[in-house]
Amino acid sequence: MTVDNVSGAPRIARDATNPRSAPRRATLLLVLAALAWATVQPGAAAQEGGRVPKALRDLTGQADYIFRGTVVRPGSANLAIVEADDRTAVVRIDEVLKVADTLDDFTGREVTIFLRTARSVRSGDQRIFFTSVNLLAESLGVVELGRRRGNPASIGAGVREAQRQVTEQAVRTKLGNADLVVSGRVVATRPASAGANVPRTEHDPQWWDATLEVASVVKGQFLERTVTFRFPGSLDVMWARSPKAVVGAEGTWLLRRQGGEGLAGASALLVAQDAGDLLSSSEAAIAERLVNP
Amino acid sequence: MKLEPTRTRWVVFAAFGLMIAMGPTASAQITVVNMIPNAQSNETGQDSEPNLSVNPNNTQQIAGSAFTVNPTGATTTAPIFVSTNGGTSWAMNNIVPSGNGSTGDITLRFAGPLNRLYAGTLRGGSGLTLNILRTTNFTSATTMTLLRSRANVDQPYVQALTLPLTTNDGVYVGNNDFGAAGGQTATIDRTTNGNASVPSFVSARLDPRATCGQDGPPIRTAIHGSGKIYAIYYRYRSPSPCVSPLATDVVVVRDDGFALSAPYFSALTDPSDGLVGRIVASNIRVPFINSSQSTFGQERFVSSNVSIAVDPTNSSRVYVAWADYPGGAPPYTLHVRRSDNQGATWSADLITISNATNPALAVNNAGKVAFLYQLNTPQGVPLANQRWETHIRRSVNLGVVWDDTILANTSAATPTATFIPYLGDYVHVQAIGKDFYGIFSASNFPTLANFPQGVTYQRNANFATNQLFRIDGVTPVAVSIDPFFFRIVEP
Repeated sequence: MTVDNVSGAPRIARDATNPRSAPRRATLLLVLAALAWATVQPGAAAQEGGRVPKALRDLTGQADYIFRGTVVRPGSANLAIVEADDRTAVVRIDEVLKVADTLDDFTGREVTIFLRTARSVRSGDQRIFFTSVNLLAESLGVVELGRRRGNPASIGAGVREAQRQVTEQAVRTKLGNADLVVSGRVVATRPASAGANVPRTEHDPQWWDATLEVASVVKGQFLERTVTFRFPGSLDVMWARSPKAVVGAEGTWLLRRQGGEGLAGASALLVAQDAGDLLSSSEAAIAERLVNP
Repeated sequence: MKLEPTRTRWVVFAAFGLMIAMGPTASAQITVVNMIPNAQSNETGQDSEPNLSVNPNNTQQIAGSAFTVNPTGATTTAPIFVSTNGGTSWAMNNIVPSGNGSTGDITLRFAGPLNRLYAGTLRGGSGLTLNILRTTNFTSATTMTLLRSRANVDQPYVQALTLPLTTNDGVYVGNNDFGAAGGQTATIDRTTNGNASVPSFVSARLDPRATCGQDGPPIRTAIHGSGKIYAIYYRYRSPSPCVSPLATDVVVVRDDGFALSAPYFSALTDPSDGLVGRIVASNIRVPFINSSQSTFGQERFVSSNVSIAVDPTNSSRVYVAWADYPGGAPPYTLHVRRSDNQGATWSADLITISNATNPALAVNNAGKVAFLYQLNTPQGVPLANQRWETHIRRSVNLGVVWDDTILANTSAATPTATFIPYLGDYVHVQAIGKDFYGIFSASNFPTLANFPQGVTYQRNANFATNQLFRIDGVTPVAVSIDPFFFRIVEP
């Protein structure tokens, strides 16, 4: 095992050019072995709303792709760009437990996994794999962050509950980073004053002001009927995912009293510029529950 | 009409002569590949503004980039496209550091014998924050190493090479640095030890002249193995404020020693004022209209279209391209010029293309120059009837006669832009040996009629029914903008 390998940076390519020169380090190995042992212990599954072990919650938060899988061919790979070795395996995905909307459904398909530990799986092994998708080619190449064995239904429930808690924590963090969180309806928008659009760059945010009719204050002290905040109106790639206020639209906005891009010195302004500054309906529901438990 | 034998021989001779003049391009083998991998068959992103680098040490290794979002939901990395079989097939590798799963502007370049790949990016989620990055293994899962980061920078455009007789990499990142004093923002961040664990960078300022407050966004470089480095930029002329169409000079600078020592990029001066930087075109007008244009195939005009290439067989011969509004009015027009004396004097326009964008130049080891661009046509018709034609034109006689090959001819109306730029503020072409490699973005509507040289899709597509499908091969997928790789194997 090399330092590269155990640090989650496996050598995967046929044309890999990075020399493998890491020395063996007994101490490091012991620590990593302990970590590996910990991640393969049967999961203490949690029921909906129940307690979830911190290790499982952390692993669920770190992994962007979690699935129940069956090892099909240890020491193999099904991606042409990957050089198979004792740290790769082809795994069939039996059930996907966590996946982004933008990733296709690979249930029933085989993917290549880069194992944390060489030769640590056997054909027929069934595990819950916590992974990060690194390669997308003929299929997926996923880097193992951890794995669990045991009752799939129980572990699946634990993962779902952990994911719920991770999502809730993310909303909690968002609320914590905002100065004012308000729900309401956008009643007016207009370009912000000229002068904020200097220097001239194609990535200029093209600031607009929005006026929101406040229905409720989720966080912060605010007694007015309306609030005005600034948002990037630009459709440039840099701002394409920033929330755009549209007259008539209802939503929950996270606002910060800070200068945005090109707004240095305008700290009194309320700004919404990040992709997550307009909560989704599910996030808004979580926020409401957190504030009014 | 029946020709007499002697006359027939003359006609045949004349036709043959014309073919020679046009260049022996008929036998070139052209390959076009849609770079979206099969595992991303459901992808509908707007993968615009592509860049490409072929490893000069191993042309099987090719890296590409575009405005492509990490599809896994992870926000800490963004993908590049990687190929280890000369561009025949592609994978996406999530190794670019990010804060939101994507990048702003991104370019990349292999350095040479030691296979190191460098990238210049505006870090995703961090506004105008420049990141200069490196990987020693572009297909590994290891996130690229951050070498330099600084704020308030636009359009990082990287070139790199391993310096002769050393293992050190020269890395040259053209950028528009809004932190530069006096509004003279054209800058090249350069290091001569890019391979070091902590490379030492210098921000070399290029523009000694007064501006209206800044220079234009694109600063591009071309490196010759002898040590000559050319760079081109748009100087926005004073006085302030900057108003579109911008009064602009096209300026070329040169360094004769890999920019190893100061004063950097100071080898060329202009006879009009004695200042550093030869003015190739003076007081032209360049539009800056930062919104999607229905009269220009949903693309924008943001003064980002310059290119430069040096002849690898002759360091004194250099070509430039730029775009402007001739006389201050549309159509957006591309110009190509040549210098045979290290940039001291310049030809008249070798070729002009009206209503086009994204010029890119490269010269192969036979002195053959390639000119890649994207033409919006027909001009002056409703958007629904407009097309984007991606052309590559080549010349074997110093730009006097050009052939013309259409790589793609796609709708300019479908899909609808989800952001700008629609196709990108740049494309790229590169010469390795005698062959040309390049990248462009276009609609992925699957029909062979759109790709006159043929095309290969990795993602699921049915060219008979003109449909895209998810990996299940059944569920339809909407048309979107994809990156396309091309390779021209010269005879």
